[in-house]
Order: sequence, then C-alpha cells, then structure tokens
Amino acid sequence: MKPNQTKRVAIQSGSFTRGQLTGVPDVHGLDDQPDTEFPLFDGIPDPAPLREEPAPRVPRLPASASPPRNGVRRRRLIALSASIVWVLTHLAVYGVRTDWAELPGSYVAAQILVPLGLAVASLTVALSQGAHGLGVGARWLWATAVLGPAAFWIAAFGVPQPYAVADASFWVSLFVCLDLTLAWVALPLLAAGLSLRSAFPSAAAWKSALIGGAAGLFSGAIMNLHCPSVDPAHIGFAHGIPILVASALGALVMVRWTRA
Amino acid sequence: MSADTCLGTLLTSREQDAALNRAMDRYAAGDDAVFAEIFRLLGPRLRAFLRRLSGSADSADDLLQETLLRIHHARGSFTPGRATAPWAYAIARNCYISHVRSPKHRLSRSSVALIDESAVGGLEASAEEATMAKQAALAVETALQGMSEARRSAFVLVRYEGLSVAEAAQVLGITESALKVRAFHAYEVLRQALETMERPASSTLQKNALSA
Repeated sequence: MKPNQTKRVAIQSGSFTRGQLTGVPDVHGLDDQPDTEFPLFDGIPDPAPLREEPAPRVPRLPASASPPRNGVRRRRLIALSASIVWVLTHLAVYGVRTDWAELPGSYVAAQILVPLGLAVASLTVALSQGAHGLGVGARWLWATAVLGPAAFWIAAFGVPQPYAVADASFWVSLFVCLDLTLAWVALPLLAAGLSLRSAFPSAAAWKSALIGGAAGLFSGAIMNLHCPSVDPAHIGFAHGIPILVASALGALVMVRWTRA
Repeated sequence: MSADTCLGTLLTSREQDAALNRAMDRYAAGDDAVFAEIFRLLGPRLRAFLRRLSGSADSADDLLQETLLRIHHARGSFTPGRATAPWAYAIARNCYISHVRSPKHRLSRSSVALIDESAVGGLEASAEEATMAKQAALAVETALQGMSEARRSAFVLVRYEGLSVAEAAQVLGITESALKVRAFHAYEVLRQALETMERPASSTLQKNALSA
C-alpha cells in the first residue's frame, strides 16, 4: 500500500467511527466491538451488530447422547489398538523377512524406522490440540502431509539397493503386495473414521489426510518388514501407492465423518 | 466511549469468555445440564457471526440450530482449558459452508433479503442519521455478500468477532499471512463500497450548498 493511500484510509477510517466525513453516526455499536489487531478495520460499520434480541429457540438435543470426553478418548484408544493389532497379526501370520544379514543398518532405518516414525509424527500432528484447541498451524499440517508419503518414496528410490535381484515375477509380486498393503490400510482407515467423528472443526481435510497417511505409512513400513523384495520399483509402487491412496481417501472421504 | 466503559465492556467480555470456557469444559466432560448456559453465552455471538456470513437473519437462525447440534456431537473432542469461541466459530463456519453448497441454498439465494432494517436503526439517532447508518450497513452487507466466502470469513472473524490473527487463522485452517491478505482484500472492497456510497451523498450536499 502506498503511503498516501494509507493516510487516506486512516483518515477515512477514523471519520467513519466518529461520523464526521460521511455523517454516519456510531449507531452500529462500533464502540462495543472488541479491539482488533487492525485499527483500520474499525472504520467498517457492522451490518449485524450484537444487540439485545429475543433469544433464539434452544435446539432439542438428539436422544442419542454424544459421547463425552472420556468416551471419545476410550473410543480412539480402541481404534488405535485395533488398527495396530490388525496389521501386526497379519505380519505374524505372513512372517517377517529373513534377509536381515544382507541389509545394511541405513537401509533398515530408511525403509522401516523412518516410515514408522513418520506415521507417529503424522498422527501426532493431526491430533495435536495446538495453542487454541484447533490443532497446529496450517504450515505444519501441509508440511507433514507432504513429507510422509514423499519420504517413503525417496527412501524407496533414493537409498541404494543392498543387493541385485532378478525378479521374474515382478508384476505378480507387485500386485500381491499392493493388494495386501491396501487390505492392511483399510481397517485402520475405517477405525479412524469411526473414532474421529466430528473431531476436526478446522482444516479437517488436511488432518484427515494426515490420519490416512499415518495408516498408510504404518502399513507400508510393516510390509517392508515382511516383504523381502529390495527392488526400488516394487517398494515404491506396491508398498508406497497405498500411502497415497490412504491419504487421498482421508482427505476426500473420511473428512465427511471427521469434520465437526 | 469512555475509558471506564471500555474497560468495563472488556472485563465483562472476559468474564463471559471465562464462564463460557468453564461451562464448555463441564459439558465436554458429560454434564448435559450446562448446555443451557452455553447456549445463553454462545448463542447470540454465533447467531451474529452466521448473520454476517449468510446475510440473512432466517438463515442465521437455522444455521445456529445446526451449529449447536454439531457442537453437541463434537463436545467430546473439545480440549479442556482452551477457548471455546474460536472452536465454536470453526464449527459454525463449517455449517455455513455446508449450507452454501446445498442445492436448496443455490435456489433460494436470489431471494435472500440482504439487510435487516431493524438491526441498523439506532434508537437515539435522528431520522437522517439512521438513514445514513442504514445505507452504510446496506453497502457493507452488499459488499460482504459479493465477495468470496474466504475473504468474508477472514474479515468478519477479525473485525467483528474480535479474534486475534492467530485464532482466526486457526479457525479457517490457513496461515496467518494468508489470513491477513484475505482480510485486507476484503477491507479494500468494503472501503471502496463505502466510498461509492458516500460520493452521491457528498455531491448532493454540494449541489444543495451551491443552490443555497
């Protein structure tokens, strides 16, 4: 804004408040309005001032009581436990990979520990209450929502392959792992949708995407723990696509339940 | 307004906020009986907020009912010790957005009365002042309804609801800088609308002065 423009606005703003320039008196209760961080804005009259009015009718509360705080916490804990048990039970049934001796520590960290850490971080950021009880700032949400899936793909394609493989059944194994990982993601997503009903008054789509991403990252990391393939394309697509699918489902579908 | 009155209003407002936060804490913990208190403290503010967003008193009443029902459903997610008002404004805004996106709203939008005349006439103002005030309010209302919901919400939260930039940004789920940009764009539109409104009035006054 140019300096002269600022001056002009400031003068006009003040005149509206006092009713000198336009002849508009302060009949809108402007002086009763709380002080804002923008004194300039005080010059804009209120078209719907707060005033004594007949009280609006009290809405009838639905017969099915909404769960109080403790009930919500219990429900979320059950959903989280069920999700973890669901995925770990599958891992127990299918078995853990056996090529640990050939895998460097950095590879294990990048493929398993980092996704697990990002899953926890995504969940924490999505459910964090923040200073105003509405969650963390928008930048944190966006950064975490993008960082989780991106880090998984960077780890899949960026970390050097520990040993060479010639996988003749590339497509078959890719689709088997893709289907399995999607199935592992499904229950945590459903559980999250049910347990986080009306949980997010603001930025619900981003927070739901983070929840979906957390479910996808957890399932992808556990799949890395099971699947012995070290082919970057296999890991990236078969284990990584479910993370994107889960994030998208969170942002587009689950948000219908989670938005307050 | 004198400094004493200002301080009094501020204290009352803070006391009300504190009472509201205490009531909401109890309500979130499962005390249904305190709902009437929450309704008394929060209802008028939410109604005015929805009135400013929707531009219609009838819509605001309906949306208020919907908002309070959503608050009832979401009470378990309310964080103890945090401010209730920004949380409730966020839910009210969600209600408004759902309402705007509904086919019913699109059909009825053209017939919405823009200004509630009884809301702008001051009891102590003269007829001329009341007319001017009504015109200014109408200009603001029309300009508010003409701008995007994103800008309107940003401006209304900061200007009329008295939220801080950080709180308003959280309510809208955007960054603080984005909120400032939206609010200032809205302010520019409103300022121009008021300028346009006052121009014919000034020229009429000048003509009258010349003819006299």
